Amino acid sequence: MEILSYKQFYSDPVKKESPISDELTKDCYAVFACRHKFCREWCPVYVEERNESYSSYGMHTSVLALAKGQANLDEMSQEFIHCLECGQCELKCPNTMFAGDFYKYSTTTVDLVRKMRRDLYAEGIKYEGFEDVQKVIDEHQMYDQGPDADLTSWAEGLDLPRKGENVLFVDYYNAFQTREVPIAAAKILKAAKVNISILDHPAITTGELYETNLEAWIEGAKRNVKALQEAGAKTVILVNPHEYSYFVKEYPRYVGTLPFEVVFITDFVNDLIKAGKISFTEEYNKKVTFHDPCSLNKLCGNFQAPREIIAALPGAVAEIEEPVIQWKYCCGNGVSSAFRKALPDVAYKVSTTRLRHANDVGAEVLLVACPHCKDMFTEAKVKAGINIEPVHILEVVAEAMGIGRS
Amino acid sequence: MAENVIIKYGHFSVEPWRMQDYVKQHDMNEAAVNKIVKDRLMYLDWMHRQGANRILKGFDEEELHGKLD
Repeated sequence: MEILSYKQFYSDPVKKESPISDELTKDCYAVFACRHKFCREWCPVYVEERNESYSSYGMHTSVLALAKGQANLDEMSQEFIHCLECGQCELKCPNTMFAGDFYKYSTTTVDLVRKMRRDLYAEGIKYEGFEDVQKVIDEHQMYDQGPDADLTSWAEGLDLPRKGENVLFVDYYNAFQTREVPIAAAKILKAAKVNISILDHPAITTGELYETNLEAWIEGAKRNVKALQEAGAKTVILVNPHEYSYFVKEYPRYVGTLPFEVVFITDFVNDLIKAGKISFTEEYNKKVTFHDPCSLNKLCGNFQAPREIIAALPGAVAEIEEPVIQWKYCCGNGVSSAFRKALPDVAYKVSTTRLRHANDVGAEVLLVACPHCKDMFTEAKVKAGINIEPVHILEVVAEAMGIGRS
Repeated sequence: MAENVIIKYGHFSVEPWRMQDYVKQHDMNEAAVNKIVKDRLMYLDWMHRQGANRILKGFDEEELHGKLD
């Protein structure tokens, strides 16, 4: 599946002392002129900060102010970092929701934010806390230049081949920081007798790089597609929903239609459960709820599989809010971790709000399908003292299969 | 009124030549259009269900006559 919706004129950079294109001005005016403001009401950042500048409406208006000469680019350093890139505003915008399919013209705030972050970076305008984001980029570029053995060290002892039709794509965040997630995925797929392989050297995919150095990120995308092709991939299974959204929505823009099928791990596991290839031997006697990752639910419209997996878990009592309600939620990390790095206090507030909602439905376990969500919720839970355990859904599946939590 | 009804990817669509003066149509494939339609239907369904729980009952006949008196 590939979801392609983008405006060609976004590729013209916004620069100091240089006029903004007519098309971008009109594009931003269309949102500025809107008085619905549905984009604002459920924006997790607006809900916490109550600052209209940090809504989709505010961000388009800021670019319009630049175009009309009423603001300078230097004043925009803090503006575009206040976005989680969750895509809620796009889902609620009447321009997208009620007219997008008819006019083939929709509001694309996430693209605008990424573009403006890139353009500001190119002009040397950095937001507060950028040093921490740069550290993440440097770290991931170091992994990219490092030895293959480091990138696949999470798979030690799992005996995974390097070529095959089903390739498990493991990004650097999962490979180094939340390796229990790919390990659980690999164990589940092996137990279900699926022949999976991994890449020797996956290239960089991090969103922070996508928002700063587009050329380097595209280079990584090309290398990944080439490596997956060379590995003989017919199906690429993603374990990180952020990377899934990049493969589905961003890669086709830069490298064309992908020569393999892209599947998220929960969809793949759910199909195996339905086909009777996964059977559960242990009961999971917990009251659970599920947090839809923004990149899966909002950006890609993928929400069914985790619910079906949870329904199949023996013993689990689930109270899960529907996907539309979860448009207003985010774990606080953001689809690029730049938000969390630069604005840890706001990220914490967004996260605790979501944990409180999980508490309201009476859950003792908050299941997640995203390693970033797990990390963010774990931090917020400890800081806030909210007694809900964030657990990755794959770990629970592995536990119920009797192959243990990794 | 439009002279023709255009259907693209299975959904009503504006004729592209009408989108030349102010904003132009952007690149959007079938999956993107289907996602918009699916999201809209989900949202409308949710919104109507919310509305159904919250709509206040109107006057019943007795109350209405009482008001009129």
